Amino acid sequence: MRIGLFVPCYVDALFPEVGVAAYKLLKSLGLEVGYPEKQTCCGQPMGNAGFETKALPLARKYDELFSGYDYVVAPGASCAAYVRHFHPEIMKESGCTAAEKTTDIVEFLHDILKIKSLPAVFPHKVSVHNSCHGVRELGLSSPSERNVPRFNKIIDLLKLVEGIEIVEPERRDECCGFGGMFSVEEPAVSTRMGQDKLRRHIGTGAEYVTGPDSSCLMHLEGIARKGGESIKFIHVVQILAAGL
Amino acid sequence: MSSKENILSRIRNAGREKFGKPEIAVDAIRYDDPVEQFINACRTVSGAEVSFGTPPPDDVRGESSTVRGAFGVAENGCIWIPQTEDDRAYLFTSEHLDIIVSKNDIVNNMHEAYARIAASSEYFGTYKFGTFISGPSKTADIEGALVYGAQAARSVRIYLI
Amino acid sequence: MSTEHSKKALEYQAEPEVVTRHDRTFWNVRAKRDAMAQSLPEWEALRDAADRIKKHTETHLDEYLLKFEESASRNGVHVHWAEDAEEYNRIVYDILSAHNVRKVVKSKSMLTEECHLNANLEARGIDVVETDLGERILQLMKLAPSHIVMPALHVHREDIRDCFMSTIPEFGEFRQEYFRRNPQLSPSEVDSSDPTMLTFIARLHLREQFMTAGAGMTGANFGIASTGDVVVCTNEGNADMSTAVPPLHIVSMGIEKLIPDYEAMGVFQRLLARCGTGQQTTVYTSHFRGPKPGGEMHVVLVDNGRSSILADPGHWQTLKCMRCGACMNTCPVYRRSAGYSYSYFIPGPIGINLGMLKDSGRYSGNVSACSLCMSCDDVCPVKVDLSSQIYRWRQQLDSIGRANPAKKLMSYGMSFVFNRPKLYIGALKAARMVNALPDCIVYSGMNAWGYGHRMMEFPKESFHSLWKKGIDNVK
Repeated sequence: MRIGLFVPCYVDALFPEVGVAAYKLLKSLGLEVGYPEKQTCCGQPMGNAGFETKALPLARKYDELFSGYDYVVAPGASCAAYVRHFHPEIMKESGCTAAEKTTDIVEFLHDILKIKSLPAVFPHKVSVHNSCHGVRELGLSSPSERNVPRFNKIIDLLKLVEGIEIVEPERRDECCGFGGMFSVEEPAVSTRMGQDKLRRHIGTGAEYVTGPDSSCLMHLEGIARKGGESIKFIHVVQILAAGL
Repeated sequence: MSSKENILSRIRNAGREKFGKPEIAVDAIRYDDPVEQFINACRTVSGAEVSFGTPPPDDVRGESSTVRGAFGVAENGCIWIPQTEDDRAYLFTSEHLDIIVSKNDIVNNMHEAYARIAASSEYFGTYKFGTFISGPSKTADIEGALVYGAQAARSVRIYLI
Repeated sequence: MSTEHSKKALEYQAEPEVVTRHDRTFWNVRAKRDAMAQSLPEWEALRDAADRIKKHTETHLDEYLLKFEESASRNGVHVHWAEDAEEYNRIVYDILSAHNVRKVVKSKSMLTEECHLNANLEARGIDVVETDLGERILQLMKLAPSHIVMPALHVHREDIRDCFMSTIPEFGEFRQEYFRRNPQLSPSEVDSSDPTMLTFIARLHLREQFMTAGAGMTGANFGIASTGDVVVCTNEGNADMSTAVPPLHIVSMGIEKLIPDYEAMGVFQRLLARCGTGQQTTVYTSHFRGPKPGGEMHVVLVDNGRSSILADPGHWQTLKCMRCGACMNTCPVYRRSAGYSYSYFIPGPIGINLGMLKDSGRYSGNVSACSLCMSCDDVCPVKVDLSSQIYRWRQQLDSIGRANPAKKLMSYGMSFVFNRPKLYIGALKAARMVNALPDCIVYSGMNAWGYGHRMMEFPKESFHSLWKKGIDNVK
């Protein structure tokens, strides 16, 4: 199985260790992993800001770079969701092939590879950050609003890690307020949402907040540091790849 | 053209794809003992009291009134009360309302309730009004604090016969 | 970078404990809604049915309107058609003046807010008394609703007490009556802004209004085409009080409120209160099928832009909305910015969309009030695609000249860099992507980021660079 690794732009620039962890984890599972070096951004920041026309060339480029792979795997639920749900719409005239093969790494491991064990050890208490697009676009967990059987793929995977203690905050999938350009257009509400979310993560007594989106974690971390909070942040793939 | 014709013509020219009338196949909740569930709903959901047998006669001051309900609904404690006399104001202006309903007339849910009303013209006879009542009037408009007796009946007692 | 909403929302943050209170109040309503959703195994099937019934009805609206008119007329109801707010206000005034009505009691209706009916009637010398407690509080305080279902929940009890004391002449008398009826309570021990007591005072105050009004007005939660019923749901019974005493009943109904029949009604009755307030049912679900003996009943069917919404391919599904307010209660932005931060009279996700449909130039300042968390889509009982619609409005802002210039510059700047892999990689090499962007973009964005965050630290090397060097050697 040939995997195209999509490392979202802000992960590339700010959280390279998340990309490294994703790569190592996929390799350790015996997969052939390619990384098209001309990749940049999926276009979500422009699209959500209202400039889908500016996202179009990026979507086209993405499709060109990744259409040859069996699956495209991204350590970033929101970006994977944008590609899968919005690229077909943005490119409806020309069509696209990579979008439907694009997955977040959590769903890839859980639904496609169906992994049942991992060598990872992480003897810490973690609070799971169920980010909105992971929950409501990709279905990484059951949305709290809906009457569907309860599940959480992030937690299923984390349970494979030795020594870990897993908790969820109150209001388990309320938005943290990042929202990409929302955080700079509505800084007051965005910050307040982040403060509230952070307080609930801290309230679990966890040492780490972990989730499938470094963007939400970056937002919460920025607020935590400004507020002098010491709780740590780690992408879920870094925990799954611990020790590799 | 009249306003009516203008509105209808704009609707007709809206160019929307027409969606067919759906079959409503909701497998709605049913109860092993609808009467027990009804009593439970009246007490916990509606804030009504429940007694068995017939109520005392209405008091002379008009503070309390009695009405016969057509049937009750187990899922939410609603009772269907069609208007049966010229004046209906007493249903709402009385401080206290006694509602009589038969144990044999409890349906499971609102689907069954509406099917029952639709099936029988007796529920809307001369008087073109009917209401589902579920307990005393209430409000939470002041800071979300639940208060019984907002405008209409301050208390409701249901007599199951 | 700021929008109208973001400026108001910033002001609202001045008192963090007020935000906490507002957020908690409406989150509690959402939590109650969730409990309702979980209590019915058929919940998602109900939503699905509601969605499909509404899609069908709205796309056959001409047929259902005619059917409703036919049914209602057969029941002795006068049916009127109003193309816009002006015509609607005129029709209502004409009916009232033909009956020499000087005072109207009315139950809550968002349509009358939309058409500014109260101000219109009052300017013509007709006294309008809101009878929903929340609406009455706002009317006496001269405030606008902050929520469509719980319009005055943001007002503090002390302010309500002060308002009642200054506007209800019988305040002292009614207060004494409260203690006469509750001899177990001691006046010195009951808080002067106790909600139960204030509600009682409002009850006596409104009783007088019901008894002396010449007409009662209601909105309509549903209009049933097959029978001509107008269905009004309340907890207080104020719609029933408003219509049980005065001989004249005028219903204001948006044309989108129609549903086909009683079978459909069962679906919507079960959803409305559960979604709106987290109750199994409203206390009263009243079916008005015709006039009282010796009375008159009028229904005014109001378009006021709805038929144009139907013609809008991206937004027609807002017509499915039944105004339960669930999208507001779940919206993390609404809960932390409150109703007055929005320039349209309906706030929250549905209000952002309806405002844009009403006047996109005037209400575009609300479109920023969404983090695209999509929770509103999941709570909506009729599955309006609220967040997708907000996303679509954002795509249109630029073409109507309403795009945020700083955000536009930022989007264009990012797109410029992202479309040039060499430039992008070069920027990464400097480990400062921001260095590649013009300063003005960086500062406007970074200043906003700096409002709540400590600036992130950039790593020494990007993933790109690590890959180039040989990723398998990275520790």
